[in-house]
Amino acid sequence: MDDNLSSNRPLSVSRRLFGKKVLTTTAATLLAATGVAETIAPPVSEQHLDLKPEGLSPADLDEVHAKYLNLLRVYGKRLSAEDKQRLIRILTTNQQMLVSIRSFEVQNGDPSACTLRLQT
Amino acid sequence: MPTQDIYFMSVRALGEAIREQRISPVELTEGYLERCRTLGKRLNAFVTLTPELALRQARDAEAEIKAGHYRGSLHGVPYAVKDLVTVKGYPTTWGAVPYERQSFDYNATVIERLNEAGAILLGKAAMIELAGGLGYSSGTASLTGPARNPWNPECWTCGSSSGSGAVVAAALAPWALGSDTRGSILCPSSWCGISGLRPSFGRVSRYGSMAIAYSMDKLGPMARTADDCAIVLSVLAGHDPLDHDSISNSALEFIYQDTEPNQGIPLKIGRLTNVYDKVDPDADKAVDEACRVFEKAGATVESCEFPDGPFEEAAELTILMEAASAFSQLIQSGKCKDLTDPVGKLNGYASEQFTATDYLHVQRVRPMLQRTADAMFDRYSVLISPSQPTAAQPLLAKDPDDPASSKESKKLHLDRRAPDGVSSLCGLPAISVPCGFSKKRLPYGMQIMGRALNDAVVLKAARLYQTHTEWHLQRPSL
Repeated sequence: MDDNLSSNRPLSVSRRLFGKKVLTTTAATLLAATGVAETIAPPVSEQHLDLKPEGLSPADLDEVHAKYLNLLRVYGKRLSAEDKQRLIRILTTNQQMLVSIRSFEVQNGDPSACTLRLQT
Repeated sequence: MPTQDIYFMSVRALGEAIREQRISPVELTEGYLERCRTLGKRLNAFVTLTPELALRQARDAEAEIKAGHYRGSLHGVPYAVKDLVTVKGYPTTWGAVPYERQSFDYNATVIERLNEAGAILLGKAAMIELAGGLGYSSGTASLTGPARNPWNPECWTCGSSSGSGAVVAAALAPWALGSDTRGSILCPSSWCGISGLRPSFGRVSRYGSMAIAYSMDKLGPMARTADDCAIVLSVLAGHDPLDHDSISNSALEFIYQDTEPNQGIPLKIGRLTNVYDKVDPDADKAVDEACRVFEKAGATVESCEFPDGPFEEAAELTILMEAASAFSQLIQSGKCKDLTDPVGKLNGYASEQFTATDYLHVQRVRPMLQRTADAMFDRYSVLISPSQPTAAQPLLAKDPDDPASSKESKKLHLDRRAPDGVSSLCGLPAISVPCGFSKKRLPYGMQIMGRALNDAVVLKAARLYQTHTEWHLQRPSL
């Protein structure tokens, strides 16, 4: 049974800082490389995001970041700097829930709760 | 004009008085409508009143009953419906600015069934915008402003069936229809000191009702007593081919046995002790007191713990993912910016980023969680706990765990085994009944949940409790 979220075990400071650094660096790189930055006004400064996600690995943070970039690609023009900060926090919270649920292993034969029901 | 006592009568008592022609449905309806116009306005309880329809239905009911054509327990009895249920000829706003002029040219199945039963629709109750489908951070997230709690108008009713909670607690109608995806009947019932039943998933047709999360949405009654909830469920329950998830007629049917609730096999009750990280000690004491009531009434009560598991995460993720699909047009058009709540304006953008693989993973974990929950009912007839960890909170209080309203990202806090989340995710029937008051005289609720499709045992336990207590008879000073 997963206990990532119920555990009080703190992540190490260095790991959090690493995660944040990864997020900052990758965001800047990808924004520049994909030209997404041109479609976003005003650009988001990572310093304003104040992102301190607990319980997320660097890979999780990468995933948050990728989702954030995709979100900006589609909807960036609609969003204010404050909206973007809020969205980072929402995406981070969503990721924390995903981490918890993904740690619950399923096997190939485990069925989905959503299945087609045939009417008779 | 009838005296105020009449408005606080139960559905059963009103129905009998109407049948015996001691109460006129027309006079009763006029009286309730007047309360809806005055008290209802003060409490922000309604989006739309339907006086022309109500009075026409009341006149028809009165004439039919006088002619000896009595249709049953709801004939001539007024009610309100949450404004996510379609009523032909009236707006159906979903409680949200982008839909304030929306209307549909047909009735929801539940409205058709209530029409056939001769019930009288007073109006469409206020609600949290989109029933919280895109998230919200406070009770102000509504087209009609925050619904005020009749026990203290400076407190909120809880949501998302916020207006329905206020309507019943303030006796603006003897019962109201609510909807519940994750706690939206149970929480307002708890905070407003009324009895609210969230039936088993698929028990009541949702055809003609707004969808949030297709695999979790349910409709159910909010009333003064558990007996009233059962009476209403008897009318609403049954297969509907228009609702994809409607349970078939071959499944365990709901048949209300309104015999004495202490007859038959004694109830074996599990008192859950580990469902909240933090709970108001007085709310816990109220449920402990209820345990003694059950024991005196012949039930056995045992403390127990709910197994660990990502129940809450699965519930939240399912709602976020399915709501992103349900409201995709609103999100993609950008009209979600017209929602009131800062979370609701943005949440859909984030939810669109979930993958199909993650959605299916959650839905494949879900049957395992269902089996875990179901196993509890091998040992107990029902499980009880505080419905909510606190009594009603101040009107403008923000959700402390709302990620979008905090200044920084922080450790996620979820009550993973919150009883309303568990029962919602697993489609279990559950009821909240009043079980005491806080020091500030705000109601506490007790949740009673049962095995899937065994709505009857939940109602039996609630009726047994209400036979021996008077919390459900208390009234707010209005």
